[in-house]
Amino acid sequence: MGANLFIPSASVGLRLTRGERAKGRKGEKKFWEKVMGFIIRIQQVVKMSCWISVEIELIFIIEGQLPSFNSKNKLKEAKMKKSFIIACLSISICLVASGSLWAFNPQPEPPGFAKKITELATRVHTDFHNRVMVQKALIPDALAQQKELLLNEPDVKEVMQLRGNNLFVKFKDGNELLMFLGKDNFGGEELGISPTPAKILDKASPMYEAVQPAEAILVSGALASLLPCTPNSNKALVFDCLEDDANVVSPKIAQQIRSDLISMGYSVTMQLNNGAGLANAALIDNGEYGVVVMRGHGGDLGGDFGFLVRPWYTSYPPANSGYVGTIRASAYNHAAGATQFGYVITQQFSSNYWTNKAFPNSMFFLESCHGTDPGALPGMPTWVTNHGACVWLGWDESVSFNCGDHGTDLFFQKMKDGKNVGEALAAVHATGCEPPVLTSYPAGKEHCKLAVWCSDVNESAIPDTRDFKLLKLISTGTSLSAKITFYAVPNFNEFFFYADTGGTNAAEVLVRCHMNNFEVYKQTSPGMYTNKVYTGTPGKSGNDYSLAIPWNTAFGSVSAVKIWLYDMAGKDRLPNSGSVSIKK
Amino acid sequence: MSTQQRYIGLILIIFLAALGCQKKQMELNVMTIEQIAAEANTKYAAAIKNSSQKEKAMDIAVDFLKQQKNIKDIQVTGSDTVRIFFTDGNDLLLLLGKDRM
Repeated sequence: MGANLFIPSASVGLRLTRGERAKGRKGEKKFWEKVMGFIIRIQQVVKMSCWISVEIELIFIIEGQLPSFNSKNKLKEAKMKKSFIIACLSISICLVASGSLWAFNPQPEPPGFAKKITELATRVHTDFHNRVMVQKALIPDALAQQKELLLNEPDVKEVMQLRGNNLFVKFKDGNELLMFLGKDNFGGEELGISPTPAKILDKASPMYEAVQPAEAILVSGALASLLPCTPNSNKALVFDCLEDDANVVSPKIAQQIRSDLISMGYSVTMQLNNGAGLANAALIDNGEYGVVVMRGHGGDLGGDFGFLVRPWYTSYPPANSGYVGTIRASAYNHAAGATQFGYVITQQFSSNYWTNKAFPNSMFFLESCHGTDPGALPGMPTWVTNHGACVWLGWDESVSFNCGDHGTDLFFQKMKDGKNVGEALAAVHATGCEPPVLTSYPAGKEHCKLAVWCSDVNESAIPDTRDFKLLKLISTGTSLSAKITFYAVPNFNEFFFYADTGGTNAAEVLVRCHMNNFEVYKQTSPGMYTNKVYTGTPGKSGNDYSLAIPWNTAFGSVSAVKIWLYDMAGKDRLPNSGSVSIKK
Repeated sequence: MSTQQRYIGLILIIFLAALGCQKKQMELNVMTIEQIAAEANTKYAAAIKNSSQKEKAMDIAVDFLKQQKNIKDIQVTGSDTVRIFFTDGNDLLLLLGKDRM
């Protein structure tokens, strides 16, 4: 038979042999045993997607198996019966085949070690559950027992007890596992389910109180200012995973943030949608960004923060994302109108990939859910703030697109207006678009603010030692701090720092900057600056030259000044035209 | 073997095949991960829309997840975040809700 070419093993021995016919009932029994065996074989073969060839095989076999139908006197009837039987058999085979195919499970089995870890975790969870729920043991005692048991496992290298009574297990092969055993994740009736209670910060907390500006103190005749925490880089990143998803404000919030930051002199990198993927997420530290805005779905992992990055997957993605510290997650994709999949990055991700460069006193702003959820803070936020970031901002619970976009918009407007973090948070709070609450982490960073920057190109005609590269301005409310960066270690006799307080079209205040001191003069007549009001000592470090000017002494009661620099000898000006505005 | 016996035999084959098919159909009642994620999200979002109570919505979503034969463990890690562990060793973090970031 032709069908034997497809599946010879499945077709062997179905025919009733002469010997079997001769043996009567016994022979028939053997025949039906063969039939049953054949069905099983068919099922096996069908699983290999060869069911069509099997059907062909059977049709041929039946033709040979029913010789009596070929008698001359019943030829017509036999043909009809044969057709009927073949049809029935075909249908049955199709049913078996489809059943087998439907039941085919395309998901790969977990690898051996993963399976072993899964079994271990299950055992620990079950045992812990029994001890706490059945034997009524205290959670710390049960936890200690589990820790002891885990340490006795041959594959386990180290077990650490984390906050919330969770265990962090390190295996000898380098794998790690966080076991959520704490009471916040345990205690349900059947499956040990207990939602983490939403912890909304008390609105009467000091965070909302007016933040006192940093005090200016006089040390040995020089004004040393307690500068607010502020990013040390004028680079910013907008990492928006949902730019093509729901957007409430117009223009889209990513563009509004960009616009605000550019007006403050930031160089803004935009990573939108699929650009906001794992590969670029892994490089966030390399950009040395002073401001990092991450917009996307966030989750409270019970001790860590998870941030969902692009791309979206329409089906469940593979476990291996190509990066460590990722978890497969699902969320609603408004662009697709469906729940889809992606990878969330966790503290393990940040601690693996954000290690090349320390964050330059960066401000992280999470426009996502749970960015500062108490359940999320011990993870990525803590790691980031321990690695150079000055402050981590986000909502302490699940936030809607409406409150998220409007709150973010207002926050950055306030930053642009020279407000500090505490003032900006209070402004968002005052809108009433909560809970959840936009908060900062760690505590005590409410005085942080963004500086105003202005950069200048390297001009070949000007020696690098007096060629202005970058100006950073920041006001504490009591003093104006300026840092001027040159293209080389500064070496000059004098350059001028002008301030327009708005009284005339020209500068009302002149600061004569020298290598070892700076003098602040007020204008006495147009173009004449003879009223010296202050003398200070500049700070010098590398290519930087810094000064701090007491605001009221130099500028009086004005709330904003316009600044520019001019080097008369080198003929350099920063900016090349116009000025840089800074608010008190 | 008579023609009648052969008929019976063939009917038996069809019957057995149908039985096999039914068993497979029962296995089919196990929802795929995609179906579970979508359904849990739909149920949660609908409950939020109706009651505006996250805890109630979460209970509904968890009840649904508990019914799934291929889910071994459920961990509610946040007010709208659930991590589920499947019997085959896979896992998934569900960020529940539609009007949420």
